[in-house]
Amino acid sequence: MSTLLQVPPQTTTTQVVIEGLSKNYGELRALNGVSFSIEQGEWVALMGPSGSGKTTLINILGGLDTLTSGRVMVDNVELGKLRESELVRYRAENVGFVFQQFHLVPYLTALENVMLAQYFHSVTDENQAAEALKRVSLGDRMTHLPSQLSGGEQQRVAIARALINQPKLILADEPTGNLDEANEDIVLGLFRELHTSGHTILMVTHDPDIAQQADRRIELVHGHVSIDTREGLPKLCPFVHPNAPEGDCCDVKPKV
Amino acid sequence: MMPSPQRTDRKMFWRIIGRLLVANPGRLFVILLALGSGAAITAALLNLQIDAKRRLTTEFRTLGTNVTITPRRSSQDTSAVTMAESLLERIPSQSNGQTVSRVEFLYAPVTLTARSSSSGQSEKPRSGLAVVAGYRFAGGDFAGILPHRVVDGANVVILDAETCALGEKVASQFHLRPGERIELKVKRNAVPCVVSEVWNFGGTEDNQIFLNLASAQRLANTPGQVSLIQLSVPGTPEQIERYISSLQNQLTDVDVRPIRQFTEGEAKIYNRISGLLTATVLIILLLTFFCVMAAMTNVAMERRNDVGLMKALGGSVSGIVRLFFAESALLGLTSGFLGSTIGILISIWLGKAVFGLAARPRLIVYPVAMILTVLVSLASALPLRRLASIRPASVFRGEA
Repeated sequence: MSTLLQVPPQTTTTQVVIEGLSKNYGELRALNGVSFSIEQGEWVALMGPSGSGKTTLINILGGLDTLTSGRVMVDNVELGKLRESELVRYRAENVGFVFQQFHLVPYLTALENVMLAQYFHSVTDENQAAEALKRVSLGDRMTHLPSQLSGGEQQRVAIARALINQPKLILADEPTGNLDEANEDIVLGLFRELHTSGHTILMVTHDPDIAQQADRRIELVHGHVSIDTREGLPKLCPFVHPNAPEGDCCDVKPKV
Repeated sequence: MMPSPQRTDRKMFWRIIGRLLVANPGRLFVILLALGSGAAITAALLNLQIDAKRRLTTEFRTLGTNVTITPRRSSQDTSAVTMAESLLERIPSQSNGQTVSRVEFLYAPVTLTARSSSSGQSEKPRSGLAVVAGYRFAGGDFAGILPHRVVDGANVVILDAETCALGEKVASQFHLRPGERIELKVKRNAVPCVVSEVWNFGGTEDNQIFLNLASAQRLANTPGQVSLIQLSVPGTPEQIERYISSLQNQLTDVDVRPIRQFTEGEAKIYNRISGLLTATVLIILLLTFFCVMAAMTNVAMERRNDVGLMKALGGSVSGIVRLFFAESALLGLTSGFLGSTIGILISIWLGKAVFGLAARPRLIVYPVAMILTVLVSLASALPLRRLASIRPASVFRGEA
């Protein structure tokens, strides 16, 4: 597979900063004081049981959802302070999404699905979109509708779409969750290439083997960061583990 | 931050619209059918209305009489039913270099008595009341003023009596055929004549007996008088209007009236049904609106995921809604054009069926019917406006 779109080489900088992020859905607290940062070009695997807040975190980072409290900075832009129109531009210019369910527009061809991201970003370039599809080995599937593609092929279209505007941040929510082993390997190969070429990737996964390929693994439990491998030690939250020793690196101090 | 507004990429815009349109051919057909039917009925009724109004107000009959001259009746003197025969000579014989056909009539009620059969065998006289139309024409010909068809005629050579022609109904009523002798009588005055032809006019003239004017005046004892002058003025509506105006200025003691495509009786019918037609158009458009809105509500449900995705990809609310409304407008335009064409064809047929005169296609109907259809289509697409409030995260969570 040929090289994917290159991100211009940069010195290591912090691209994402999350401080005390909380998100409530009515009575339900999906995220509770989450804090961590991601460096430029880092591949982070986000893990945790269902309902731990992984997708919520991804959605907030992608500007698809709002936060209840805390601060989220991406490239020095505080997402919580953006107006709706600014969030729209943020999504178009800064973020590339890859979903577990692929989320392709069913009545557009593979090529047009990629061009759709160009259309909402600025102007379309059919040749560039075709090139992006060729890079994910779908040069012969450009005129196919999503229903005429396999799951792996659909996910590759989604990846080509996510990359077409050269976003700084790629958010992938279980991108291999619906794929068989062969397609999983292909898609992970693409992500490895993206990582090598300098893209910052935050990938939600349940699979420890996939997480192993990332630079770093963050685990969420009940809306808290329980493990962050960058710091080498698991972060145990006293709300989840009431007997944990006080002073552990939790975001919220336990009530004694 | 991120200052660049979304630029317009028309090619991709229409490419997406094209895909949206054919995404569900069944639904597309239903929407086109609903909008097209609405447009067709709207165009048909509007064309009939506009055509009838134009004919009523601006157009003149192009065949036969299009101007009449009658005695003016004042409120003090209602007895004046005739005017001087010599008026005919004062009427200009030309209009814009073309001959004006002129005929003057004197009408009189008479008693008709049939004397013999065409076979020459004497039989019991047939008698009854009839109307005589004594006529004299100048310029053009009689048929040019009163177009008719000869339904029965013979090469009758009469040396000892004058001839008369019968309207078809009179001939039928008295069982008369060409060659038969009849006697026309008013009080003591009697005029014998031989039937030369039987004419069909398709109107009230079928009940009349046509005789030369001098004989009719003798019968009615009104020498030098006529009841009516009919003219067939060639030219455009404007030229005819000018001719009438000039004639009215010249003949101040008579009434000069145009005869338009529709008669006054037809105009009354038109006025009565005009409101009904307008109401029908509004009801049809309302029904079309509800029908298409039901389909569009279904579309809105189907497209929640697509809209969520478009927003996730950086699509603005206005950009996404513009796509859907452009799709609706295009549907309205297409069905409006097709429907209007069909509607105008229907109105031509309907005009012939109702007024006996095929309605002319009025070009103004096209834009009016199309604009109405597009407006209905856009109004019907209002459910799609709800898609604007969809939050992508909610859609992806399966909540919306």
